[in-house]
Amino acid sequence: MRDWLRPVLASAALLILLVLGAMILFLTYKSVPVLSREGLSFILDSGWIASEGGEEYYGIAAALLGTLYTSAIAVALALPVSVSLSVFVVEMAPRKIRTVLEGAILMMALLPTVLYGLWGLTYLGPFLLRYVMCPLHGSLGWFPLFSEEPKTGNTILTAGVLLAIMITPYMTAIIKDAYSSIPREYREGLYALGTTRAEAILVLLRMVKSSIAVAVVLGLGRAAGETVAVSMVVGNTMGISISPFRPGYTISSLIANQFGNAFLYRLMPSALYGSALILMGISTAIAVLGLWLARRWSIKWRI
Amino acid sequence: MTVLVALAYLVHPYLIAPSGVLVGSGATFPQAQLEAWMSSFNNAGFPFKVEYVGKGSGGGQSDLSAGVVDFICTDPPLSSELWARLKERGDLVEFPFILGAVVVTYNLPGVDRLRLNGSVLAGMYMGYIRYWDDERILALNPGLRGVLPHREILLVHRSDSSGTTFLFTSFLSLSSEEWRRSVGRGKLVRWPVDELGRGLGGQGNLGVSQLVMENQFSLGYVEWSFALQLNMPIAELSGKSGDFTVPTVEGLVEVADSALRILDRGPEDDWDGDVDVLLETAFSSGYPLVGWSHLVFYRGDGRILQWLSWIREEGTTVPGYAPIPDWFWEEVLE
Repeated sequence: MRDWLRPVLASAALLILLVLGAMILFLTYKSVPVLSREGLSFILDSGWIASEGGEEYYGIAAALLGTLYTSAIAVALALPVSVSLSVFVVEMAPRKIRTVLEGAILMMALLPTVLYGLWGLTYLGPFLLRYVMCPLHGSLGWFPLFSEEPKTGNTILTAGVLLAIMITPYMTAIIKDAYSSIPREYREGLYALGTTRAEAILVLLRMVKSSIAVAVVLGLGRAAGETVAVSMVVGNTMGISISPFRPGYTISSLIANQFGNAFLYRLMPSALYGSALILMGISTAIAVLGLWLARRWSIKWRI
Repeated sequence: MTVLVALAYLVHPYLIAPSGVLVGSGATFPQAQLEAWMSSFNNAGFPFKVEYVGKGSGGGQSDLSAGVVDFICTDPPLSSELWARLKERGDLVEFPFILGAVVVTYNLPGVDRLRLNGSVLAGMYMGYIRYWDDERILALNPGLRGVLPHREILLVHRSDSSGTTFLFTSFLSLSSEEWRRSVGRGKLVRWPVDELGRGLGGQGNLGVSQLVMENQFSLGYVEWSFALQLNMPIAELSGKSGDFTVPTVEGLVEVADSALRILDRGPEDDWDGDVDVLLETAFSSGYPLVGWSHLVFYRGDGRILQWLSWIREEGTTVPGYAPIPDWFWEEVLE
């Protein structure tokens, strides 16, 4: 039994490694023309100058910063919501409400991203413009982040908030599973020590911080990779600014916007593969960091 | 990418199409018109059907080179070099077959008539005409003094590489020396207003239309047929003559008529460079943002001629397009 099972299962592992390796090789190979021509200025410079037969120049700094900015906003908003939601579902919600909530979270995770995009464009963007950006600019306009006068709902902030809504179900699922799998004895022990409910929850959350790290990594990865919804709300323009009230770009939406006609140009396909390679590099770095934290913080239950 | 291409070919209709189908691909600009023609033609009892895949002019040209389609539509004509290369393979013909226009649309509550010209539009997209009540806009619209708000203008443009952008930026280059020198024209350009945080990019005509409709105080350019379909306001534009007009079918046909007489080319000829002639004619004598799309195919397949004769006799033009002048059709179908 063991003799045939092992190679069968190992081949799945091998396949994953092969596919990943092939993708990295392919992207690197395709990025060579643009990287060898432009070097570091490909990621440090901003501009997307295409011309059939003429001079071309591609710099993805604006899109790169946009990706980091929107993903950071998304995780910063989604993390407290996911943690609170997980604790509420496990600790406090009556069984019926818990079932409804779990169903809703699952449904949110399954909705097609283009629906989020359409909703973001027609409702979320105008809503944030009117009830968040304008009031923030009006009352805290001296603060550099809010000093830009908001003019449109298609901004970095809208993309970040939309992404937060999209990654919350995933992050919640991971945190909730970890939180609810803490053995009962720990909870009983805590209460036996005379802790309040809030104190007990804080201790229990600290026990699952490795899973929270994994949730953050997955959330960041999904946010950075999301394409359709973001390109519908982010505004798709190359400008570098610290203001979240401005339109911007992300690497994924850049690829989605430009890929269709990229082959009209000599260097643009390479620039797009190069952007994908950079995106992959960032995701890998985040994943490595997250997994390292998760391993460091992981706890073996001892009862 | 190889995998993507393989997948695309797997699901592509023309590889699984039965032989009774005339298959074309290419520009999306004439797609709405082609679809209207095809749906009547395909139900008119002919022994074959026509199918079209809109994938962009570039995609159409590479399909023609690969020999996988019966005809293609392309907004810019084949380059002289490609024309010469493909002509060696057979009796290739090319000619403009449908007219369209690009319109400037806007989202300004309470304003149903707006006049603009190329130099004001260039100033807006460069960023130095910043507010709707700018004197340069008011000078063209004296009746709107007090109506146009003191609000910043949001400028919407295509984010993908597109022939619509090429027509629009050509018009700006013809109108404004400053635009021509600092930005120029192309399917994809660097929009100065983006760096000021007042630009927005939308994918496709639909993306631009959605952004204009969702953002108050914005302005953008889309294909005429889209603006009509979505019931969006259309700005009156002027070219060299200074007369303001919205596109009309008669106006477009007139411009194409003059341009075709100046060009004096037939289906056997290389059409490279014709778009400039069309744009300059339009700029000096009518609505300035006129475009056309070319049909390219190898002669020898009787079905294409049969379809074209049907178009000439029975095909109706849908809103947002105008037919090529009749005498030119006659010359083509000789």
